[in-house]
Amino acid sequence: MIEKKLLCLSVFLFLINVRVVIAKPQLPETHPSDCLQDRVKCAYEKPLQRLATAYSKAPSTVEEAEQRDALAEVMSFVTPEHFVLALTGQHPDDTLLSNLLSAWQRARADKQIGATSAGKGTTDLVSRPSTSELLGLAMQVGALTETVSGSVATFQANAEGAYRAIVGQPVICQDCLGTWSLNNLNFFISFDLSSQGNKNLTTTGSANNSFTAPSTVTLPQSSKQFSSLDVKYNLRNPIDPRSKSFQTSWQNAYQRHYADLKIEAATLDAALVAILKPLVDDPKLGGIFKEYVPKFKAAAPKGMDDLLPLLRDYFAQIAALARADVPNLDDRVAQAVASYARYSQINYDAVSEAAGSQLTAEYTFNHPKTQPDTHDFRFIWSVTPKHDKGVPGTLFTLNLAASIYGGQLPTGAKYGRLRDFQFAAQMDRPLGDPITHPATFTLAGYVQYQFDPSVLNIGPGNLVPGTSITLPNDAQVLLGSRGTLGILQAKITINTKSGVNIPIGVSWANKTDLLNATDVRGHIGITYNFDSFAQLFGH
Amino acid sequence: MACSLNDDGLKCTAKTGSVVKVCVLSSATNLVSATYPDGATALTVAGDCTTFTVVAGNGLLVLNLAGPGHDSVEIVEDCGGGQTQHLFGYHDDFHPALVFPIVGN
Repeated sequence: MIEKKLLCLSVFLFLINVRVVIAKPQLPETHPSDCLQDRVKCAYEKPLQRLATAYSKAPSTVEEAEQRDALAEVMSFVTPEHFVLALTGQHPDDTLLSNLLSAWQRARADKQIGATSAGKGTTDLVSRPSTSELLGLAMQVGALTETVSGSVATFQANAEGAYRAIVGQPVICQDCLGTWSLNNLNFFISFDLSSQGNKNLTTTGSANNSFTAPSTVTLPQSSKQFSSLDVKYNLRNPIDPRSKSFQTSWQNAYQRHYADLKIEAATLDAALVAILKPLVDDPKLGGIFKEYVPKFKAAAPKGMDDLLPLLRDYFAQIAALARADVPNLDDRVAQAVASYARYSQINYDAVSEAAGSQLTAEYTFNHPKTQPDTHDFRFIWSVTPKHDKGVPGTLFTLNLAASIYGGQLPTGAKYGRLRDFQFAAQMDRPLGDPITHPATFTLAGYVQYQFDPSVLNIGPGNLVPGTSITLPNDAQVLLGSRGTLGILQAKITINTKSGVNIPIGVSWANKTDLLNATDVRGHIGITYNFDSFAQLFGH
Repeated sequence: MACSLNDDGLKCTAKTGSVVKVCVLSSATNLVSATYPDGATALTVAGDCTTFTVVAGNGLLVLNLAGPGHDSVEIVEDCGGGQTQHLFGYHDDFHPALVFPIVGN
């Protein structure tokens, strides 16, 4: 019953998320779902909101400066990424920017989408520190510590990403990490797809007179049961520009990346000026400014409903001017977009380096069908050491965990509350392009010390050996052995452009939880990172 | 001291030949590099400030920034004598490049 409720709840939340995002009433003529087509709205949503907010307040010296800056951000080219991004939507086949940014997000090696190491159907021996910034979905086949393999479906949600999607804010906000925010909180819920159950039903009599009906029949029942619930919180992800410690770390990281930033800045400047200089040289631009400044000032206090149609008119005129004035505009826009992406990547690397290592706390409630429930408490520490320019950084992750049995231990139990301690280490090495790396190679090791043999629940209907006595519901046996379980794993994860990642791995274990024999097995999965959908929301 | 740039909100004008010093004020954002007037001529950056001489006609001052995502940044003209003129600012955001049209006349 609980499993059904949890399954329904998670599917409901998932659908609500998607429904709200798609159906949320937005501005007239626009919907987040057509954001890819409506690139103007996507590009300018944040500065438009700034403008509306600035004009919603009573004028003061401070507000006048803010109004002036907000108007400049919308109308002038002071922050040219808005104009460049909007121009990318003018070409029907132009998805360069969205591809670059979302591919980079999807290919990050520190994200975990699927279930963690304990339990069936996982392909991950070590928990990673980060997750999808919106939603994740994983279908995985295999097992690592367990004897019996299985297939598991896992839904993952980031609290802030889901919230941003619901209220229509940009979901992926590169570098936007607060000292305390919902961004640090993630949830996973997994369902075992391979369990087959039975259900006894009482019959209501024979369908014909020649046959005496049994009083009950046993029917197979699909039991896609709840497998585990996982809550993950980033304890240390400190990017606070005002803190002295971050400022010191940032200056060190900045100096290390300064040369790369400067080189890419030169490319970016050339690309931007090639687009903008012909525009500012065109005398018609002054006329457009003169016409639209009073219009924007009049529309801003009325809010987004008035601003957006006005922006469309304004942008149409500026874009037409750009088409007339800038030779090979699409090529130049593509160059600027590619340069923005490379520059942002270098800046992000520097910010990540300044932030240092990540520390994440994780709690997992495991509900295996044939074993007692367990509560796992895990600390995840990860770091990407300094690396050469143009080479993707290698992520090193350590896990330290303990697992205890849940519920009340049966009277006379020959096992204790503490099930095991776990230690695991992993290296994730992105392969190929430093921004979008199409694959990730993973090597991992896992050691678990188990204090007692594994406990196996024996379901009702089994007989005590040599007797006709039916075992009670809570009958348990010990299987396997206490001691050390060691696992080594090698894995390749293929990062496709569509947001689908395919982990394919092989592992060797000196034993499994129920059997004292070496075990070699393969793992495969398919995960979907809904960060790809993030383009549909916000700016 | 008088400031050199006359900012109407969308573009700046200045007397050709005047020397202008522009600075980035923030908690953690740095001025990486700057170009003026053609996107190819690199300016000398000292700390988070750069200085240039205004040329005749339209020129673009491009400032390249590096920093964390939610910093507050203000771009000012350093007019000397402790006086500054606000040119542009933003809060809780990051922009890799800022572009200021400057008309020398």
